[in-house]
Order: sequence, then structure tokens, then C-alpha cells
Amino acid sequence: MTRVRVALIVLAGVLAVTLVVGSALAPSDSSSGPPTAAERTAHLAGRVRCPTCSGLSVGESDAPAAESSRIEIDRRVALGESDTQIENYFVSRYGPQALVTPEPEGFGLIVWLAPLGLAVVAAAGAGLAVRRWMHTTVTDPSAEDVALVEEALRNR
Amino acid sequence: MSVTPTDAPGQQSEIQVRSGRRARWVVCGVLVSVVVLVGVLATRPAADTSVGSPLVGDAAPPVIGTTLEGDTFDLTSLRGRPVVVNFFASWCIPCRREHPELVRFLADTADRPSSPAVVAVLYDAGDRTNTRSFFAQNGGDWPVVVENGSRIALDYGVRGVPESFVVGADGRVVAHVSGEVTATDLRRLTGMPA
Repeated sequence: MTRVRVALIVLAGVLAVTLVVGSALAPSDSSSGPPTAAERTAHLAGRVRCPTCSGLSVGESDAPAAESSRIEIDRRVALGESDTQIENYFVSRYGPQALVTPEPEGFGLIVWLAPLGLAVVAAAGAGLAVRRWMHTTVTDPSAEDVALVEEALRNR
Repeated sequence: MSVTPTDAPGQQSEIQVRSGRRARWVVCGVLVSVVVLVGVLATRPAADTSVGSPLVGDAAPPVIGTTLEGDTFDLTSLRGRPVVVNFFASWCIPCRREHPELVRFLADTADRPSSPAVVAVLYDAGDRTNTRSFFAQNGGDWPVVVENGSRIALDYGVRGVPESFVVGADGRVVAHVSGEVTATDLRRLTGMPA
């Protein structure tokens, strides 16, 4: 087995162990119970875009419109509406731009597909590089090379 | 003594040709991506259109509240007439500029059957005193509903002032104008040509 192959197997092993250990140690929502109303309000406030600010969520802005939006989210959470229903309310008023994370449709689809495309291109590039690396053969020295080296050694 | 492999120049030129082809493909790929991106960005609708809102075609959200005069107002009381719901603040310069247009629109259409109405929603509850004096100086006898919070603005998806929504006689939103309106625009949007 070549050194490259051993290195690749070790790398894959390290990645697998990291993923398994990381997912086991990560805090799980199910273990800590359902989110409280305040947690849901905070989560949704981070998802809804402030209508009068530039690039801020209603959770990040102190603008009056952001405060009204937080109050509305709080009111709807207390009424028992789901996260999707509350997000749909803002989308029905302000359009798809109401959410900080665009919906995967129309122009917003590019935002979702671009990283995926980049990941595919990067993986293909890495695969090609590794393939070329593994297929690089070290040829034996020719008789002329050997003669040259021997002559050089003799003349030292 | 030097040894030069006989096939080295041939291999080198082949490698150069391959590298050149690959570079051309990369450049072509980047160019196509840039052209596609520019095309998408150039042809997508502007984020802030002067007319258009997700509410157009839907039932108008409620406008219920107390007016500057202390009366109770409910938008449904104007059902059967076109209504312009105008979000206003006295500190907003475009609102002050468009005010005479609203006055003219109502004066021009007052004698029409099912004459349209205007209702203003005060965007900033702390602006009551200034708004009262502004209306006293500049005319306009339509109700000015004072927001309790910004619930009405939120329900209408208002981003700033002035914004106007034309509500049809059936209570549905017919049009949304972001920015200043003119009497001509309003006559057209309410189906009241000159």
C-alpha cells in the first residue's frame, strides 16, 4: 500500500471520528425539551427581516418597526401559532424578502444552489488532483543516469 | 556529459497545449458565469416597485382606531366606496409634498357617485400635535387614525412613509403606491378618470 493511500485512509478515519464525536457531543433540542415562548420569539426575530433597516433582522434592530415586529411575533407565539404560520404572516405582508434567509424559489434559489455548485466543483477538483497525485509514477533511472551517477561518485 | 531525453520537447509542447486548452475552458466558464449573473441581476424586478404589494387582490387588513379628534374609526364603515389608506407623518417631507394632491383628488371626485374617501394612518403616534396643526394649515378633512403601536403599518407591510393603498369598493386592495401619489394616479387607480 502506497504512503498516499495510507494517508487518505487516515484522513478519512479522522473525519469520520470527528463527525461521530461532534454529533454526539452537540447539544440536542430533543434532550432539552421543547423551546420556550421566549426562545421561539428570539428564534423568529432572528429570521424576520427588519422592514425599515438594511440587512438586519428584527432581533438585531432597535428601529420602531423592528420593535413592533417583535411584539407581533410574541403575540402570535402566545396565540399558539407555529413558526411557519408566523413566518408566512410576514411574507404575506412584505413578500419573500420578509425573511432574512430567502426562500428556495425564484432568485433566492441562486443563494441556495451556488454553495452546492461550488461544493461539487471543489470536490471534483480535489478528486482530480488526488487521482493525478496517485497516478504519478516514479520511473526507474535509465542506464545512462546510473552511469552518470556512478561516474560522478568515482570522481569525488 | 549531458543526457537529454529524446521525447522531452514533444511532451513539453503537449503539456503546454493541454494547459492552454484548460485555461481557455476556465476563462470561458468564468465569462459565461459572469454573463448569466449579470443577465439575472439586470432582468429581475427592482426591490422597491412603486406599485405592487403581496396584499394586492386580498381583503384589506383592518384599520380600526381612534382619530386625532378622538372619534372611533373603522375602515369597513366606508365599504361601497373606494378608499385611499395613506400612511403619513408630519415630519416626512414627501408626505407634506403629496398632501395637496390628496386634497385635490378628493375635491375633483367629490361629486361622483360612490365618491372615494381618504383615511390617513399616523405612522408615528408621537406626531399628533404637529399633524393636527399641519392639517389645520394645509386643509384635508379626512380622518387621521392614530396607531397604537405599529400594528396597522405591519398588517399593510409598510416600510416607510408615505405609502398608500387603494382599497376597492368591495374591500379588497386594488393598488399599492410606495412614495408620493398624485391626484391623477389616484383617479386612475380608483377608476375615477378626469
